Amino acid sequence: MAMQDTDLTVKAAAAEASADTPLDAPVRRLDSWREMLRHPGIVIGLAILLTLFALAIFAPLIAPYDPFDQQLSRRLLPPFWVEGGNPAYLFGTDHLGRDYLSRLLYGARISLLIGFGAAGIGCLLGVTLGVCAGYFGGVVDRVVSFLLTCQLALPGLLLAMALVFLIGPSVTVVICVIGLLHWSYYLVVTRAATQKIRDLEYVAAARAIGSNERQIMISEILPNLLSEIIVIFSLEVGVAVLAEAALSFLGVGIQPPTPSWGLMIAEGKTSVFLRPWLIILPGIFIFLLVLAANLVGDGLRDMMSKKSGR
Amino acid sequence: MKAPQTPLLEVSDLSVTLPVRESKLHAVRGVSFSLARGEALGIVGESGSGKSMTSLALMNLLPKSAERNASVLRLGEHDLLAMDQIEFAKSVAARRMAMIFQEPMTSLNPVYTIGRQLTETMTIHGTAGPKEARERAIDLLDRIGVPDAKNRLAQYPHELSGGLRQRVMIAMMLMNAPDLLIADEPTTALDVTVQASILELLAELRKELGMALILVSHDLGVVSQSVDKIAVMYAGELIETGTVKDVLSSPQHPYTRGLLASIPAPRGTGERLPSIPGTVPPLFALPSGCTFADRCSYAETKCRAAPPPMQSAGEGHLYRCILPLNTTGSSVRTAVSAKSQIHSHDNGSLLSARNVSRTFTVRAGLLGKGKALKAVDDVSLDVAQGEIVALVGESGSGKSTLARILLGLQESDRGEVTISGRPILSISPFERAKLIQPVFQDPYSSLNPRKTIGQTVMRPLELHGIGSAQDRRKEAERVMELVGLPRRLLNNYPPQLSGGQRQRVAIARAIVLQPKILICDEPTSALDVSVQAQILNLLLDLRDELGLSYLLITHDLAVVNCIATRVAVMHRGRIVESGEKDAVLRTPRDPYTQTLLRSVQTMKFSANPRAADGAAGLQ
Repeated sequence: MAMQDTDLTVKAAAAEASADTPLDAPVRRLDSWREMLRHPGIVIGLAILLTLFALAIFAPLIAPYDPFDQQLSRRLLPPFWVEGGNPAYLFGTDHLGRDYLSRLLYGARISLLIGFGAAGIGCLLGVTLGVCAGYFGGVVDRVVSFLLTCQLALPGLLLAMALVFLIGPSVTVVICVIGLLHWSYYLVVTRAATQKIRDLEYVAAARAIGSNERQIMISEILPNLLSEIIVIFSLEVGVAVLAEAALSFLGVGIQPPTPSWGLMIAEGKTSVFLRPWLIILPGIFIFLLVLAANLVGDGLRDMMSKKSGR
Repeated sequence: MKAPQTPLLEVSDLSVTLPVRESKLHAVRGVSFSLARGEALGIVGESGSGKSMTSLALMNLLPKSAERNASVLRLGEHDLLAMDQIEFAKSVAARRMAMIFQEPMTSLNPVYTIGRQLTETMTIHGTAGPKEARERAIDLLDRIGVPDAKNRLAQYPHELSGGLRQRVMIAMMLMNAPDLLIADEPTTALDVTVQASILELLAELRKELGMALILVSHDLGVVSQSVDKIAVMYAGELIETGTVKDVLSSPQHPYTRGLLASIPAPRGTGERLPSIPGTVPPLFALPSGCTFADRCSYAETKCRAAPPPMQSAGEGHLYRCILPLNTTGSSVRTAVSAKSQIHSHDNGSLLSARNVSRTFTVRAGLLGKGKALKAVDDVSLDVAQGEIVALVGESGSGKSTLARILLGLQESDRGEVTISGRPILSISPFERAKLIQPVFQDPYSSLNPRKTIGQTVMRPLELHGIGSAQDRRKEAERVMELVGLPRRLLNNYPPQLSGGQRQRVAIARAIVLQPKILICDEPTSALDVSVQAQILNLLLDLRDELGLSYLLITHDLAVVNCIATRVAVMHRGRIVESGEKDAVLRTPRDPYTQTLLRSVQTMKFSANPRAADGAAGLQ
């Protein structure tokens, strides 16, 4: 009977194990990048976002005029495609004779800054609270859940108005106030995900090698929440942009003469029937930014649910 | 009854392909078999062998994107190929052919009473009125050993234990008295004692109702006890079929032999297990030769030239291998010296637990009074240097809680745990990490999916600030080699690894700090038998090379017998029996240990010594 007496040393075991590599697939991250660029929503959303970013960053180079420069003799010029328009002022001028295109470009800076800044602050708050609540449970969880209930019971916009009014409006204050009021979504999602992860064996293994609670939360749990957080972040950017526009429109957000899209709509509202472009133009920009953020967010969410469903 | 010549089920050239991204996965290829009325067939194979896909294909339950092809697929007078989904559901599903699944926890709908779910199977098909169906349900539940059947009908699935749920599931499938019952791993999720009773029940019902049975399982022991014929699947193909006796006592295919040899026997001599190298390959392209050639130690060039045809080794015994019978042995590797060295363990106890207890308070309902549940009750245990102590028990016996207490991850209410004589609570987590490390059951949840293997293995060193980044990398490479993994895997992510490889990574992470004791919580229960043998061998090798001691927590007595030196049996939080392995396994004193030993599904026919002489000692 020909029975091979192969020597099974540890080295032989090495050969065994190398044989059972299932597939030398490329690293997963690259895969998802490629997948992302095949999703039409994400591609369109990213394209709009990147364009707006470019416009905001290079506003001083692109803008034909200083956005604060008032030319009272040329006030309320219509855009070039309307009768009486001046090709030197493509989008016309506002009631103080400032170039509308330049103000829109500079306004992109404010909107993006507030959108991403506020979503970032909310992210920091919500994720910290959510991970802590989910990980520690017990009293921590009850306190955080109570905070969440309170936050959900507050009328967001009214409170924001009151806060900004009390503290005094400035870009920083608006960012902070909007951020402080938009963390509940992060909290709910990360709390639930953390509760699931905290009982997994790799967390126990991390504890067994001597990691402390902070190290476990940061290096074991947080990386696994990243994709969820990114999705919420992109959706919250849209929400924050709208909140800023609303606050500015109501006069408790960005203060003139700083160019902000919400403020521009507010300034144009008196002549909404005579000069609708004063409202429509900044409206289109707000719409595009929020649409882009939501497209990216929805697309990422689609991809994630596809992945978990697989 | 029809003439015995016409089989109940006829399957010829069944193939299933699944689209995966851009390519196609040939999950099942050219499978043919037939089944007579009242006959039982066992389909055996490792994960990825296509056994479940075959049964799903019969039941029309394949995922929507899958493609099913066959030249003949016939159940009695029904041509299943010509039938569409609606017709199938109306006239075949549940009435002629029924299926039970692995997971009794999820296959019953939690929002309906079991009575409703049972009677629905009949009323929906119009085979009986509600009253009649109810009577039949009570009768069936009674017959399959569900106590107090009448009142059970009003209960919801969560009120039943796993074993009872699986019985209800079986009753549900029997409501319409089908001709064929397909059971896909019906007992895998259950404890051994429950497993034995479910298998007995299936065998009895088969005789009583003259029903044919297809039992799909990865466990040859389970299958050999309860079927007439066996079909061994590998990489989507049938590679050997025949009667249980033929296949088990004179296996022809090298894979079947290897599979038989790598099963740890509950009453063996505790030698190192022979193992089949590698795992089942995924089949994205149709193979040009024998699919097993890469793992077969007898493979020749002609094996890779063309897919081997079926050969006959006597009536009804077919196998797919072209090599002449006598030149092939079992495709396994055995140890040089049969017995791994016995380590002296008289130099005192390394890990010791004294009268450890842990009680949880379980609250019944919102305002209910807390009820004390003793998870661990007055347990004392010792692990000496170089020893492998097995802690055996079924789910809920408190073994995992005990493991967490021993690891210092949870505190005990009473009692004391010491490592080398020092109380575990006086040792800082950092120091403790260098003394004792865990290896967990589930290789899928024990590795962080967002970290590369290298990051996972180097993390303990990094945390303890050992060496420079370069030193750590070198150390990780050394440990990878120790556990038998190629170092190129250091840059891969866990989802790219197979179960066996992941378990090796988990072991690498555990030994990188050079601890003295490993606590292995069911380290192989999620793995295939051939891979299980590889991991058990690795644990033995590491003990010899690094002088490790193990506390091995398991429900599998065969694994215990294979590598343990001492055994402690745990039941409802208490250790009911402990002692040297042979004493406990050969002459168990406690009634619970006796039940456990009786429940183990042993192989019905021992392998022909000619077929697997390297494994003969296991039988």
